[in-house]
Amino acid sequence: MRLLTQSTLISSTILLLALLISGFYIFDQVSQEVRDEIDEKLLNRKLEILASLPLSGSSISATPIATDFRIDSISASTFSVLQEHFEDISIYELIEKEHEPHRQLLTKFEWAGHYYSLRIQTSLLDLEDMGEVIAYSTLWVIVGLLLLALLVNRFLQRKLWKSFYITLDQLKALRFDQSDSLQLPHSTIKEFNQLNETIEKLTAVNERVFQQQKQFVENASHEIQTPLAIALHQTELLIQNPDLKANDAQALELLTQQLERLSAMNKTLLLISKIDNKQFVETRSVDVGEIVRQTVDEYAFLAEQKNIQFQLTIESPIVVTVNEHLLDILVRNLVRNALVHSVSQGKITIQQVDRSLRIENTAVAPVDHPELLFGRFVKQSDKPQSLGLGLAIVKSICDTYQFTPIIMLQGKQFIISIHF
Amino acid sequence: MKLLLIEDEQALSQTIIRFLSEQGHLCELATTYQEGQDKISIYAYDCVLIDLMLPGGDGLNLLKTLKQEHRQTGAIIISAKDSLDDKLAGLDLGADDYLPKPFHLAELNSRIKSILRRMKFDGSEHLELGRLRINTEARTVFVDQQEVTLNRKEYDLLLLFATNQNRVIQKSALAEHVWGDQSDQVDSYDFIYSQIKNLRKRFSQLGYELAIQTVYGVGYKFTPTDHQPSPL
Repeated sequence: MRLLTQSTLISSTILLLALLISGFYIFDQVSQEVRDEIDEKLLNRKLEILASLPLSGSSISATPIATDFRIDSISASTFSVLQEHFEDISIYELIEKEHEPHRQLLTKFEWAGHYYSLRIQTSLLDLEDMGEVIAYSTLWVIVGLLLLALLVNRFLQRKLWKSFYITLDQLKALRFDQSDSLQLPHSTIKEFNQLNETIEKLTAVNERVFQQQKQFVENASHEIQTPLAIALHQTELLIQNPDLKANDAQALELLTQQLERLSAMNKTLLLISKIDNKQFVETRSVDVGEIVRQTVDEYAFLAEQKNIQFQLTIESPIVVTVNEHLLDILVRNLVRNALVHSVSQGKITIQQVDRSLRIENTAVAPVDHPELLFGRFVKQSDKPQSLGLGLAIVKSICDTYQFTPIIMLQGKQFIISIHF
Repeated sequence: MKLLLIEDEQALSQTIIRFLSEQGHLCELATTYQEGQDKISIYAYDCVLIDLMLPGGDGLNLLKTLKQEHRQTGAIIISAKDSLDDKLAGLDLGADDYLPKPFHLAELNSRIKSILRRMKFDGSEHLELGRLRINTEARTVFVDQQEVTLNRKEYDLLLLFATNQNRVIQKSALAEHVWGDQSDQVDSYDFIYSQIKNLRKRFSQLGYELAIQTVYGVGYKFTPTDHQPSPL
């Protein structure tokens, strides 16, 4: 949930609760006041009624219909218990055909030696109306304030947080391998300016480290390749000597092989470090099947040499957005790995089903822990010349693009499957 | 042919110069950026070999100067940085080729010759080796007047031999030249043997014996008996 949405939600909920409570509070206070007022009116009425009684007579006749009070004669014992008090009652109204709330004052008086009870009633409808008015006005205030809160959050807050969101967007798009740097906005808010300064400092440091690391790997490779080149050239010149003896020639050949192996190792490590440093940036959509087909064609010479058959089944195209060079290296390493470790006269089955590329070959030698083969410098004992880096490259490329590589061993069948 | 090598590593430049001189070229050396710049502006060369990391500056700038002043001069970048970016930048600036270190001298030789042929004869030149004639533009091969049908790899193989006559070419150089990246880390170069056998067979069918001999199992050597090598 976005920060603004969440803050709007929380503040609206609190506001809603506060207004509801305040609505009830106001109603309570007002009705208290109104009740006091009504009670006072009833007491006044009592005094009026008592004052209007005739000064003498034998008894008080039954009260007229239209009056708002009733006088009943009561016994002396009832008179002594009866306490003057107010009560809420409901009276059935003939016109409305429903019970309506009323306030009643029940009191007593003694007149000409007789005891009477006096009930004075007044309608509480005013109070009910008032409650309604308060409830409605509270509701409208709530609606109004909520709308206001929404608008404030939408416009004011958005304006206040604008610089923060610009910074966030830039950070999301930031890549150290590209030279374009951050253009963070200047804000009127101190905290955002501090944030931007900190980010600028951090990214500058990171960028420098990234460049240094990239430079270091490249320089190291350069420093190693140059002596290798010199040594290799010497063997190439020495081998031209027409008086060379057979075993000297073979020694030179061995020397050349080892130098070339070193050179290949150096290049491969450089490649892995470049992959891990995400230095292959350019991407485009590539059809995996197309690359597989090309690679199989390119390795036909080696397959022919070892008398190995390729069986290629491409059921559905897999299109991925990747660096084409890296995908090429990935497929190449898989195909080469299958070729190098396959028995001669064997068969290599390559299947492309759903989003998976599956390469299967009959292994020459048993593999103890197939899952370890993705590690660096892990190689099988029957191939001492192998660098043990081919599948490490596969793993690195898969990690870069979140592909899932799986190695399986079913009997003598060695299977690598990549889920794109 | 007059060549200039701009390379700061002494041991490397000595070997390359010795090799190119043996091939019949006149080869000069510049060891710094400044020296390279001076030589490029003063003299005219047929082909310049430029290392990218030089004391005093970036080899790519030298390439720019070279192509501005002598558009006709061939240029090969020899770099230890096997970087795709550098390669593309170099080729963009007009380099004719890009050769990452370490490279085989035979490969360098073949590339220089290819550039020189292109420069001097607009690529239409035939390589004449006695009865054998190679049209490098059309990539066709003739024995006497009869065309020999070769596939791409066989042609590439033959061209490397033709440009490096009388020299032992190591198996790895052959593999790299013809199969490029695919030959990387392949556990043996046995496949070359059958390819050369096939190549010989193509010619023997026409009654011509292609004089490629194996040298102690280390490499192969092409010695056409009816022809003397030329720098091209």
